[in-house]
Amino acid sequence: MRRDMKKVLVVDDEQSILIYLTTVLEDGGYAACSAIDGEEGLRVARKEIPDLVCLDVMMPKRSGVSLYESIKRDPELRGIPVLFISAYNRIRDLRNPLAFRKMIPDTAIPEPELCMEKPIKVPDFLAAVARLTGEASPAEKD
Amino acid sequence: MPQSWISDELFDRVPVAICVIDRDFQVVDANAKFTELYGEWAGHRCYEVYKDRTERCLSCGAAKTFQDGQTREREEEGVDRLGRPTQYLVDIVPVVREDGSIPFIIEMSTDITELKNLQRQKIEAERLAAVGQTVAGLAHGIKNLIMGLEGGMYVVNSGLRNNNEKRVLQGWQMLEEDIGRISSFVKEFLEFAKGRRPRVEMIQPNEVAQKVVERYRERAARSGVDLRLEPGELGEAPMDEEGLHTCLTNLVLNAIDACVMSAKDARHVVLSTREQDDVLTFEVSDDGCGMDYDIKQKVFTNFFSTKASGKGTGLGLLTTRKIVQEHGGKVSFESTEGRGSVFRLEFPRENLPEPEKDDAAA
Repeated sequence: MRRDMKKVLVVDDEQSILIYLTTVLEDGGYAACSAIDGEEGLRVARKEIPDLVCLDVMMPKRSGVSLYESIKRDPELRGIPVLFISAYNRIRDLRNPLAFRKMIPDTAIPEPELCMEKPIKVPDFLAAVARLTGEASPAEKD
Repeated sequence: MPQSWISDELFDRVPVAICVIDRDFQVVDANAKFTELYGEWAGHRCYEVYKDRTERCLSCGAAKTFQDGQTREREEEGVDRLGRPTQYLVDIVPVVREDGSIPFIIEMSTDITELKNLQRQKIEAERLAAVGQTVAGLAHGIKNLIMGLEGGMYVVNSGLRNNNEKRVLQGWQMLEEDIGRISSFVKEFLEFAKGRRPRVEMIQPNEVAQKVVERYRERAARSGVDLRLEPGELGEAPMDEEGLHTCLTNLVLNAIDACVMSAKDARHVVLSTREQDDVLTFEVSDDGCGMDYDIKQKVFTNFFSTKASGKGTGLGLLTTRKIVQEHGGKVSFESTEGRGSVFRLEFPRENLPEPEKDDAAA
């Protein structure tokens, strides 16, 4: 792993989606790590301190929204941008301030940086990851 | 003056149709509202006036009141003076003499046709809303499947590009799993859409609860969950036994899964039953993982599942709700994240369907 490689954590309860997204990220020049549920997600985030967290919304044990809240309350983690990726029909609600505040009423928790709907388009996903991690987009690198 | 007004005018001024019927079912008196609703009554029998029938009704409330002297209230369907179908709520009150005989009964009816129409429209609107939700849920499920298939293809291609055989195999495996999921998804969806006609019979609901608990006790124990039944006093009830079995099974299995997802040592699922004020209640409570806000919002959404892929299709609670609604009941729940959940099925006796056998006998 190159020292300047940005690190991305993917949290999703579906193994196939973890493999998909980590492969896309590795092919795109990122270091990828993964977690299969919200609790493991928080553990890995604390250990790895990634540059970006990609989060599914509906997961067992602990939902993506609940994990998001923990990340944004943790002084060590709160600066890490979060990209929600979900097939949840109302994923855009997370970007709608009113709907978002119904899920997380505490205004100390900021709205998420970005939300994407499943299925993702690989170039759009990589462009979003590049922007959120402050990397030049992979298209520009090519 | 009020006394004379009550005796002279009230009969014709009340907004309720009133008639007096003798033991021969002849209408012997009626008020203005009755005449306005049902037309000419003098010299006619009640069933001719109310329903345009030529003989007595099969299940005649008036005859029962003549027999037992009880006041009763029931909903009836009839025909108004212009021949239009009407629905009315009728109170049947006996006129009892000192010697206990009942020479007359008084029937007071309120036209509820409009109310019933609104009720039907509401049910139809809810049905259409449910269809909309189903389509939205289907789209949600398909989006997940497409993501999985695209993922498999991407990983295969990436493996080929990078000469990474392990990755190619990994991608193929993803594709195979996803295609398997599509098959079971479609199968389950068709089963849900097709549904089955409920077979309503007089059953002892506690026996059904017992069967469900016996069937899953061992499976629960293997997962470290103590499953038990706390039966209350529950009378026989006209229900679809298989439907009730499905509902309780879904709730019990969900509760066991919720316990498995929780990290606690001692975990319990209790199925309890009770009857109070003519409402049959079944409760499944667990001290498992509970649900947080956004999961609670999606509990009754089809294809929404928190279980690992392949383990839940997200139709269980939706099917349960459908069956409970067919019995005129409702499903509710309370849940606290980390503390557990209680799912409750409530069936008011008055809403329960008629058992099939009685229909045949009538």
